[in-house]
Amino acid sequence: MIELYHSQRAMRAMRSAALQRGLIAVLDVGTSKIGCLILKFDGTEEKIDGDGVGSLAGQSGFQVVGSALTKSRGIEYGEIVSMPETERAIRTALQSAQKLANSRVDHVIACVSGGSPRSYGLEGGIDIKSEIVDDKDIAEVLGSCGIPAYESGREVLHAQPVNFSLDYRTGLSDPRGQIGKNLSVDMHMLTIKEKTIQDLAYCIKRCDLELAGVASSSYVSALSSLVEDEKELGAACIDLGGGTTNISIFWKKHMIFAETIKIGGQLVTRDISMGLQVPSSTAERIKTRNGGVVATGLDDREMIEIASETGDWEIDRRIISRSDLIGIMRPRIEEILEEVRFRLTSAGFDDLPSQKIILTGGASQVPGIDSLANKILGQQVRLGRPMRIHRLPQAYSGPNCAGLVGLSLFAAHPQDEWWDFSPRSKNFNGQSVSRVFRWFKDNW
Amino acid sequence: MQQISFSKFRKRDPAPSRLRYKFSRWMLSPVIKKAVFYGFPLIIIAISIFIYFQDQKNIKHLEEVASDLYRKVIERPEFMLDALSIEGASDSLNAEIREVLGLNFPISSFDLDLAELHERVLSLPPVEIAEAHLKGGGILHIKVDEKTPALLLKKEFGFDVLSENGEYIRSVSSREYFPALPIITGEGAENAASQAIAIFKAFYQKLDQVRGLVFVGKRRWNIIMTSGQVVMLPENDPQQAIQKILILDKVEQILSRQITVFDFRLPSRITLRIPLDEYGQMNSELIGVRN
Ligand SMILES: Nc1ncnc2c1ncn2[C@@H]1O[C@H](COP(=O)(O)OP(=O)(O)OP(=O)(O)O)[C@@H](O)[C@H]1O
Ligand SMILES: [Mg+2]
Repeated sequence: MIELYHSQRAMRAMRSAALQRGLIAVLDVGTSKIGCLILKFDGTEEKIDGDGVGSLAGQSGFQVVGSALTKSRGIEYGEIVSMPETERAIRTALQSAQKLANSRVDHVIACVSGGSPRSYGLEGGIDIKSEIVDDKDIAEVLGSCGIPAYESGREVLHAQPVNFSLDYRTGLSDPRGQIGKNLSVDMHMLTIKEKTIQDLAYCIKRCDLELAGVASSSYVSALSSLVEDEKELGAACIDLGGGTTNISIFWKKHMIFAETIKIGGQLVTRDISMGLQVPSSTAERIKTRNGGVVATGLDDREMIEIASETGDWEIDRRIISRSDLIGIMRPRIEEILEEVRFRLTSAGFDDLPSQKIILTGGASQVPGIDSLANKILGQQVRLGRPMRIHRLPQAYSGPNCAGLVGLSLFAAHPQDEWWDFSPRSKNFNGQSVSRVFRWFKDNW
Repeated sequence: MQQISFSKFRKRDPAPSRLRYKFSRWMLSPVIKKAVFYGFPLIIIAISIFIYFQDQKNIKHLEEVASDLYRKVIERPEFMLDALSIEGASDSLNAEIREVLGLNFPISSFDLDLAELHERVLSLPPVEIAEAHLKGGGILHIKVDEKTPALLLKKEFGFDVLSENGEYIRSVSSREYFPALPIITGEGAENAASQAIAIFKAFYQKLDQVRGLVFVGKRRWNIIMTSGQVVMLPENDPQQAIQKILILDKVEQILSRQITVFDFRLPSRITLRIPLDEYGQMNSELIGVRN
């Protein structure tokens, strides 16, 4: 725990160093594509206030100077399975982005979609000695949270204070300077398989870069796809990626739940490939060109030519109708959405006042998926696209780049995390060690 | 027939090799970027210049071009002088100055050495002070003060005009050019010109009766009167002797008497020489003159 605290703080320090230098790269290592943006911070943080575009505020502080999108290699279900391959893919992306930016970056913030993230809600409370809440009290109350017993091979990726309460007043986002006696906090903690992060860190290190931060893919996709109201009133962001489907629930401007399902667009492609007996590249092509989930009478007459290269004319020159394709795709997508429904329900999403669901990610580009999602997930479904950031090329404005854009926002405006507050050294160490120890004793 | 499959044309790995990646990053590091951006062009330029100057012909050509360019610039109408204006000089001096400067107008002001021109004008004998400067409208303006003629030095042929300080101004063939100037003569007279002027000043009342001064033995003056009388002045303080003569003349009308030589060489012992008449007798008019 202490170790993690220090490594996270080291990454924070690295990030502020990078921000000072003005250049930082963000890297979305996905199952089907690796995206890289190079951000240039000019230090001028204009606030666009007053016209209700709160989510745009502060975004002019940086601009995109380099970008690259490349096919990802050696990654399955958001996890690295072949380090050299992944390293090559990262190298490809970084080199072309650096070439575009015409400058070299040394720091990179990355996000991971795999690693089976697990959400925990923590609570903590202390009595305030000095009446007025200050930084030390915040650190103390964060330190007083009961750390749940997560498995040994996992690491904490996020630990964000979500809500502070001060003497029965709740919903405070920043209680500093307020007067009270009893301060308590709700914290959202996300753990992820240690190995996933280690592999990614190793690949990035092999590319001569410093890791200046890691974020969960679910979190960053939501950052760029949800508008402020949705974050405030409660919404779920579903990032339908290639290998994974990332779910995150936001409420009161904070993420309160995140989850990853290991099924995604590639499974649909595989179904097509198997169902039509075509190579997966062909399957991918017809999926993106002609794919759909809602069949109409017209689709019976829309014929798709399938070209493959087996050398057998009978097989190579086949024609199927679009209805056939939809017939293959729909069950799988339904399955994905139903799985999402199940996870949302078990996370308690139904108890939130607002049931808004935002679909994003590459696989959300399947035509008609919103009407299908309406049937499965409820009426308040919309398709999300990442918001605009300064100088982002048009090719990166699609939903498959939601993670990339969100990561840029995350780099520019990181959310306060537990390790941002300096602990009261002795107290912190003693307490949490004993706490972890107790947890171990209780659970093993 | 062999089957040609597309899969045989394996695509090259799009990823850069580790070495290439490192090299490209190294090339993008700020120092190297600057060095390449400025260094390479500089080196190329330096090498090409070096090669160019290896050839003598090129150097010559370049020099020609440069001097051509230089002339083109300095011969712009803005820099050209079209005329010489001279102020304060008489016609003859004017002509002399023009001759000594020897400028062919139009001429560029870059080709002109004003200080040197000034020297040259000053070196002309009649010029006392000179000033040379450029005036707007392409005019070289020279302002001179002539020396004022004060004496005529009689030479074997003709006269030299001298200034107050005995400086030579010019030669004239006849007195008529300067009828008002007093005449001096004798070997080395020009060196004692100021003394001569002092003498003339002291003797101003009788100036119309004076024919000239003669410098005798390079040390003292004789006044030659129109009547042929000679006044021999001492070497020291001739003015005092003149005072004496004037007083004597006032009291005794000494100058209008028949005396050929007034010898004042020794102020304490004035000697007068009376002309002898045809009989070798002294003139009786002189009786009564005392020292
Ligand atoms: N126009 C389209 N229609 C249907 N599916 C599409 C379309 N474009 C992309 N996809 C699918 O989206 C998937 C890629 O999405 P995305 O780029 O968000 O994944 P990723 O971020 O690389 O993966 P992950 O987030 O799971 O690690 C692919 O499976 C692809 O088939
Ligand atoms: Mg993704």
